Amino acid sequence: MRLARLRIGRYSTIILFGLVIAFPMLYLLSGSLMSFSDIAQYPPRLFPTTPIWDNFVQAWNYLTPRTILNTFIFVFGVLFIQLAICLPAGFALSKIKFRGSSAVFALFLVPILMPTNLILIPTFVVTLQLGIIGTFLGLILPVAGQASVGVLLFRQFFATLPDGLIEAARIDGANWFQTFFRIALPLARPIIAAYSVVTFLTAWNLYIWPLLAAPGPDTRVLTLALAPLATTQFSNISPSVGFAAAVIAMVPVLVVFVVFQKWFTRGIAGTGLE
Amino acid sequence: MTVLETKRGAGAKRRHPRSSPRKKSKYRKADAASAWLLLTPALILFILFIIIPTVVGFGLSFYQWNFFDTPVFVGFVNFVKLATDSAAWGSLGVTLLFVLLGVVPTIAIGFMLAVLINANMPGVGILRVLYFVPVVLSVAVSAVLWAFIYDPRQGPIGALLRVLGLPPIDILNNETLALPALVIMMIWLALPIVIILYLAGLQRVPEDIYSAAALDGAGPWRTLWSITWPNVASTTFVVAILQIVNYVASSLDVSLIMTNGGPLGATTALSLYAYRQAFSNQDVGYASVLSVLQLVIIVAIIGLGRLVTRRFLR
Amino acid sequence: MGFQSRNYIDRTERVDIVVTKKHIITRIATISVAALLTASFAACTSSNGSSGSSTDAKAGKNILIGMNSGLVPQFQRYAKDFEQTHKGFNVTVKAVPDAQPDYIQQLVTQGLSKSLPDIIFNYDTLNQTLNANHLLYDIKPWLDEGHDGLKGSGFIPAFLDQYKVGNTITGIPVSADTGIMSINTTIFKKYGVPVPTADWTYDDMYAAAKAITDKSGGTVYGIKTPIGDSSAVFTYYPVLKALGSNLYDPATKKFIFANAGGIQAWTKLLAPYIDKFGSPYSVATKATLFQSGQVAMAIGSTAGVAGQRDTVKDDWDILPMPKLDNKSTTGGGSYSLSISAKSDNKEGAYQFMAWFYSTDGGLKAAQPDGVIPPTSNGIAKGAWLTEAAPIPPSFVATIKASVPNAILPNPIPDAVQPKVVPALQTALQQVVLKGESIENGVHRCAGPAERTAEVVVH
Repeated sequence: MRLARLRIGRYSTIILFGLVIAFPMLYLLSGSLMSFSDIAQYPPRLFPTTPIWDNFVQAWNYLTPRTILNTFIFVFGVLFIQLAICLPAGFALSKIKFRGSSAVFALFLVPILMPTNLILIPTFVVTLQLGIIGTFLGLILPVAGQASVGVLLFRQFFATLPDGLIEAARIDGANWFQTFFRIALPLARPIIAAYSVVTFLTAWNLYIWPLLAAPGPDTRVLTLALAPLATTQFSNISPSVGFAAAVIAMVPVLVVFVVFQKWFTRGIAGTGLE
Repeated sequence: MTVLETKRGAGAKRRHPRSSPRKKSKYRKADAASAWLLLTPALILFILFIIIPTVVGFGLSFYQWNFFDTPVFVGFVNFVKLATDSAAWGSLGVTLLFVLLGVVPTIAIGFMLAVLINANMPGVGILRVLYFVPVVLSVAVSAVLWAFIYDPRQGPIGALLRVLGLPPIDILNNETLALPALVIMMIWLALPIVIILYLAGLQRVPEDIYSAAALDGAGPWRTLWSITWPNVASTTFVVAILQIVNYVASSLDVSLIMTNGGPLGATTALSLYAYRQAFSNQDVGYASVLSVLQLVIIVAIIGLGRLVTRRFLR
Repeated sequence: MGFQSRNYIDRTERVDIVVTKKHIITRIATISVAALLTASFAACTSSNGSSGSSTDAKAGKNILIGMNSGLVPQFQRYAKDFEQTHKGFNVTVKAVPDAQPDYIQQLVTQGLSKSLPDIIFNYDTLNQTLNANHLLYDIKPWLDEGHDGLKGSGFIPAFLDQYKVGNTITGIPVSADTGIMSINTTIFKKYGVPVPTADWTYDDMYAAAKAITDKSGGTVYGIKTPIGDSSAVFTYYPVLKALGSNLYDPATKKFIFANAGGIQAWTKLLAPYIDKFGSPYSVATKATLFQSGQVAMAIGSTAGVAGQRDTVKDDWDILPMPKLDNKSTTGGGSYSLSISAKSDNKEGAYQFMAWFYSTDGGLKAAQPDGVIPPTSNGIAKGAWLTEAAPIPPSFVATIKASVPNAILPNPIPDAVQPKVVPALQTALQQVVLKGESIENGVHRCAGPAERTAEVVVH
């Protein structure tokens, strides 16, 4: 009995705080269905007089399917490359003792502290000299190269893995690669899931780098298409269409959340140690 | 020893009976080789696309450049300019305010919410999505929504004041209230990522600790403070760094869109000031110097933070 | 246990870098590498200036237009129309970002990768900047000779002059946008205040605004306060001129907006804030105040009329800006097309512009988008006269009255221009939010502006 009441208590607290945080979303959703006059009204309306579903049609035409595909290619490209390079690096820095370990770690940390605006144009020049400007490669690689947070996160995580586990594997004759793949990696699922979501989001919302590096129609991403809808002073398009477009752009992200969060919220049974 | 007295709980390290210091040195050379091999892919991309541009970006502090002409070497001129620029130091103060008001609440609230929703109950998965809302929207869209919320005539806060019979307050145009209002918005924006990271970190804490603590009679708050919090220390470390950087650097986007640095510079942080130097005044060299200053501030704050937490832990 | 946990802590904590002799050498090496890299970066960007400027003898057939993202759809239509009547041409329209910093960054990167458009989107305040950085091609010679049928004299002087720098012309305005007053006639009728007419004065306007605010008990504001975030130069500039002042006087090379006439002008402009019969001061542009019926009158521009048709539900009309001391207070601005200095196809680009600015060519195609022709022929005979929408009723009359009388700001030296608007904004906030006197506020911001101007010019 007490357990049931505790559960209901917990559910309601979760819902309460969740609604407080998600509250502004309400304006977005209802605004996306409003007609132009509804949105400008005062006193402000919370719900549209009649829902204008056509806003979504207009928004969809604006955000062409190709743009959405491009965004997926970009985001998943960044994600896979980052996982591929940051996981081994984080593992090496945390579990392998070698000279220069601290220096390399510090090297990875410094750029976290840096403002991105400043290195945009130098990064462009580098990408230009490599001849990959305007291609997916030129779009993805520089972003994937931002390995600082990944290395930091994975290094911290692998450091919490008990050394005994690692040493047991090493004593049994495994080299570092096998140790990494067979022992460390499977245990890292929650942090991989968490990092994937964070990276997915960051890449999904990037604007200025895709603008500079690959704005062409073959490589255009969602943020580039969305930007004029939100704030341009020269557009005749209603803000509700802009809201509708933002809602459309939100859907894949929410799907990713729902799918991935199972991975970082279900406890891993035991640690395989003692 | 009860579980409550052992802060590290079951995560303790146990040495394998067969290993010894002598054996370790034998592994060293092979260790280094493997380590570098594991590091190489990351290092290549990193040096190419991050280190080199960073160095150039900082190197520009010694040049004068307006984006279009060739950069001109001017030595320390930009640094001297910084020393005499009172607006820059004012913006530094605003930056520190952002950090002071923002970082600790973000971490505290994020942690507690993560613990709250870290429940293995049916249907919670869908409910959790609510907590991630702030980050599925872009900053531009969020700014439009929050400007609406803070609007004295049209927003809910204004409506609440009206219901209570209080006079309306134009929050974003109020010199003292504008910055806290922006901080609240930034906390809202930062929560999802903090929650995600803590959720992952909480998975590392084995279930048996909690059961043992419950058996020992620990209430929920005691458990939180003595068990849960210390066990996510490594996550807290990452989160703290990310948030300090966030509040120093990302105050740019928020203050640019919401208040344009106003009123009267109350929300012009160093990041916004540097941005203006680069793009309104087209003085890239000076903007670079300000970015160097920004880096120094972040390092100083992180260093200070570690000093403070070490004192606390002892 | 103790030894273990210390190891545990040490490994997870951030590494402290100890400065040793070895590290000092490393540091010196790093700094030299940094200097080398930056120097080579500087060399990379210097390739900008050496890409050979030349006018082509032959017109190419590919034209690339970089256009503001909100305007891309309509320019794609114009491009198609052009291709139909000019066989063999291939016109592509690419979007450029709205925010000036993003736009500048994109121009820089396009310059570096040699992918600048042939025709560049430009606007009055940006022209100085782009021109000072040698991005724009001087089309005055072609305009003078009437090249391809496009003559400079066909344009309304006030608007073309915005793109005149020294003895060059670096852009052609697309639409003659002027300031106008939008009036919500339903509100006027509701509170029994007579609707103003086209020959009204500033005092008439303020009287009407006061009446509405009073009679509605403050629920409706008589007028939307005109200065906003003080970037709307076209609002206050004509008032300054009407009272014998200016922002920047090219003759004496000084900022004179704090002189006697200037103080009068600011006092006039700030009356709705200070006497509180206008909407409260706000940095945000509050674009929907008029549409939502919260204000009875609002200064707008002709460019915004098209949008208002869709959003305003009440009866409304537009009037030309009221007169002050019998002088016009109609401001104006425009966005323009400019030819890039680095283009390989300047001739082709000019041909497009000649077609675009012809009354029966591009300007006719652009009429439904609310484009008001900036040419005398277009104003007299353009399609906008006969094909104008019925709402607002006084549309044609207002435009006819406003465009010839528009007072557009003269260019300000490039180095000072970015400082003027923020300085004014600060001064305004001091006055409105802190109750400082107008004289003090304006003088305080004029001082630094003048000092900067002196440094630049002498």
